[in-house]
Amino acid sequence: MNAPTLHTDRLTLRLAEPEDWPTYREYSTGPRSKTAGGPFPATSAWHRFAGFWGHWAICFGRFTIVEQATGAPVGHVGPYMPEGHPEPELTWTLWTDDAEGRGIAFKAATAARDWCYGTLDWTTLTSHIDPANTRSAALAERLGAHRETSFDHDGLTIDLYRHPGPKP
Amino acid sequence: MTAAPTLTTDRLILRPLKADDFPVLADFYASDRARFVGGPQDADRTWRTLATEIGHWTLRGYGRFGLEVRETGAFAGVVGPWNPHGWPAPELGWDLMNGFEGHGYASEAALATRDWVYDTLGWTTAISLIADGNVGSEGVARRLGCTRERDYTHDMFGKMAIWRHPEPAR
Repeated sequence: MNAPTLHTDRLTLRLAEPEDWPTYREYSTGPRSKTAGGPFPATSAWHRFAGFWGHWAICFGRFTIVEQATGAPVGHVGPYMPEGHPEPELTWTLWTDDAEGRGIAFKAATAARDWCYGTLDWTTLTSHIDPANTRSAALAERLGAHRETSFDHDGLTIDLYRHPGPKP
Repeated sequence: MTAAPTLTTDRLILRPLKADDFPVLADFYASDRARFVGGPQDADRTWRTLATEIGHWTLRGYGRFGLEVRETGAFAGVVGPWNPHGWPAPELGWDLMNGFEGHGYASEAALATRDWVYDTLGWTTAISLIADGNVGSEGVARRLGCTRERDYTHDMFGKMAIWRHPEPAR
């Protein structure tokens, strides 16, 4: 499907653009990607980056988070469902240290979840979180999600959080 | 998003890769035949491979096509220009899905995509990377008039050779 563009008061969520690559590359080849299986070599980061468009072409996909004030891409957010995922996952990732601590991931994840429920008519969502990623676990809880179970992934124990369903 | 155009040859249609191609692609990448192109790999990884192939079009303005047999509509391969980050130069690649070898499909499709990159994209040269021991693919390269230029080692895919295509006809 085609990615829509979503807005919050300070953020725009849009399809990835080739111009996002330098910032995404910094993230993906640097320490911030550790909780997502990184850091990755640049070649592998580029393959992952290209996957943003492919995911949308195959079904739905994730958005780049842009700060309206600066126009800068600061992360990605949205529904993720690669082969092997039992059900769609809501993911959120900030690409720079500077984007932390300002409510960006919370606002972006809320907007993406509202879109999944309101437009795709989904009734539930999960998030997979490495327990060592305490910031992300705290955000899941702020979003009203609760830890439902744990599972093994590539030798790591991952917590599965369940989000509250759509508001009636 | 940039999507692939559709090209046709005598026996084949070259069109954008799509979600429906996944099961056949996963079967190929899970098989021993994929050992020359980064496999064998499981279905989870192949799903990402498919997503990357599609996204390559947006990042480069070109990419690889899904190859379909006109007579049956069967998805038979992935063919065309490929140049991800870190690649030594833009290349033409050809992967036939399982059971579609031996018909000359790879040569026919690769020639059509070479004409396309020369005539439409304005390329003046092209390479193909072929893993050591991939005798079938070397045969396709020879039929296309390529010559083996030098050895090349890639950090993800190991030991290969760079083959050079003939330049566009004037």
